[in-house]
Amino acid sequence: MSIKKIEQTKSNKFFRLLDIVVYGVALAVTVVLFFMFVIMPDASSLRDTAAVVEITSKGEVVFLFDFGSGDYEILGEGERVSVSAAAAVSVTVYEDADKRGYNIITFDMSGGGRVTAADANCSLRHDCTYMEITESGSSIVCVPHDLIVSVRSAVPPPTTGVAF
Amino acid sequence: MRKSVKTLAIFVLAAIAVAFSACGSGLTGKSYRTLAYFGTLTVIAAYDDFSAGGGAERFDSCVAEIEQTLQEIEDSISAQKGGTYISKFNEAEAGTTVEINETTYRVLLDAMRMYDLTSGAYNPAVGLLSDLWGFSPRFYEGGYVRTMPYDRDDPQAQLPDEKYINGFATLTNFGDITLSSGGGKFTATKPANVFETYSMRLDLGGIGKGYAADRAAEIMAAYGYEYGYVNLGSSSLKLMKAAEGAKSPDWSVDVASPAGTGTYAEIYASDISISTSGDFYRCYEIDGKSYSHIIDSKTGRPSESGISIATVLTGSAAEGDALSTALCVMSESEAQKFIADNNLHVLYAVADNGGYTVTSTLGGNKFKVTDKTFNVN
Repeated sequence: MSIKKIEQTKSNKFFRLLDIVVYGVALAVTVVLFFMFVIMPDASSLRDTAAVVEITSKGEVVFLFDFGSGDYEILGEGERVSVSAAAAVSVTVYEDADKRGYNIITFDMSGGGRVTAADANCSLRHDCTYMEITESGSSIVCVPHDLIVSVRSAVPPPTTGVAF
Repeated sequence: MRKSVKTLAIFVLAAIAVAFSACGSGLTGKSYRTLAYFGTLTVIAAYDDFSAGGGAERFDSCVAEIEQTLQEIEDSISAQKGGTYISKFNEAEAGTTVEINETTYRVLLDAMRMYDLTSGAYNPAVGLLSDLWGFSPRFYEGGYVRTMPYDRDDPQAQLPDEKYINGFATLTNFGDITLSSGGGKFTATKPANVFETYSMRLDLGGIGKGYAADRAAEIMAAYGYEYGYVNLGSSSLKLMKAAEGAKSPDWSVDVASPAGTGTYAEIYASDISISTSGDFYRCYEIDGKSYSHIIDSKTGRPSESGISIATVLTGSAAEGDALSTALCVMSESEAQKFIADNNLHVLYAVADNGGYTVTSTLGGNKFKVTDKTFNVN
């Protein structure tokens, strides 16, 4: 190697500006692709993930809706829950057995599946009626009535020897 | 072009190619259905492109076909339902020939093959003994009343009469059944031996669920599903590939703990059947001694082999169900010889000194004992 070449190499910076730009772009592409193909698929629709959505009222799970099968189940004594099923399943959850405070939650199997708070008499603003669930990870909360609608699970993992 | 720009171009192209090849699998969704047959639940799970047109409808059609098939199998071989071919066989007098359908014939042929292979350790002719020891469905469905001469007030707190144990053990000569087929007709001839007024009664529950799982998996394959599973009562599991996890197509399958709660191991597998039998499920204790639902036809008593749970990986769930039951009947040394002779892929746990010791013929990277209180051979 000639003296000139050695001196030129010595004078070079470890990173040139263009190198930093190139590696920055590479990093950005990695991050974007990671979100597109690793993170995003987890946030798929309720039907895609066969999500089971539960309604918890005053700390008690009172209703389950299975977006895998379209089946639903009223839990407990059911005196605070009434269900009507048409194009969508509409569930009314009362605050107490005297049926004063209520929230109406609808479960719609069309498209990717959707849970909406159709009505409530909790306050003038009815905050929960602005909320909906279309993918795992979302929830609907009615603070005045202590009511939470949330996604319980997706496809059960395979097991062996566990009686069910 | 500078070297770094070339590197960037190669990187971006490679990243996009990898990303779109993953995307190209089309596995954007998953769905499952739960069905109730054979006194237990069946889970059918499929991973597919449900966002594509007709994806959901195709799965609905597949599940409907599986339901029809499971119904047909249950209506053929259930020993608990009236009017099935096995019920007719059980009610028939000793020595008579009973007409059966092709499904029953095929399940009986499979059972006969496994009975021979296991030298009788798997034996579906223990129907009377299961009832005598209090393990028939009538003892679990509530409203039990004494109806049979051998019934006790509390069949899971009082041991049966020795006379019946010994008598019913003579009615387990399953190999003496004659099966025949021809001209589209199928028959089974019951052995002629009797004890008092009793003759052989079959219970194909041990192999029937596996047979049904095999058929369900065939239907899923015919519909083109490659990713998912069929789980029939958790004793018979048919795995396809796992959709998740790019490095491996294997599922991670939790194995129930013989200690009664939770799980003790994970098995990593795909495109295979996994069957598990154990003495911890449906059992009771009298005077400090445990009695399990797995009956040893040679003694007429619940098995005392020492293998508490056996999990078998095979191509056929029907075979796996019979083999896992058989391993829980054999002594551990007999089981070890049988496993080696037949090159079986198994994971089993033996109760010892208040704990459990695990033995496996699976590759070291194909299972993990997750309960640290278990010893591993």
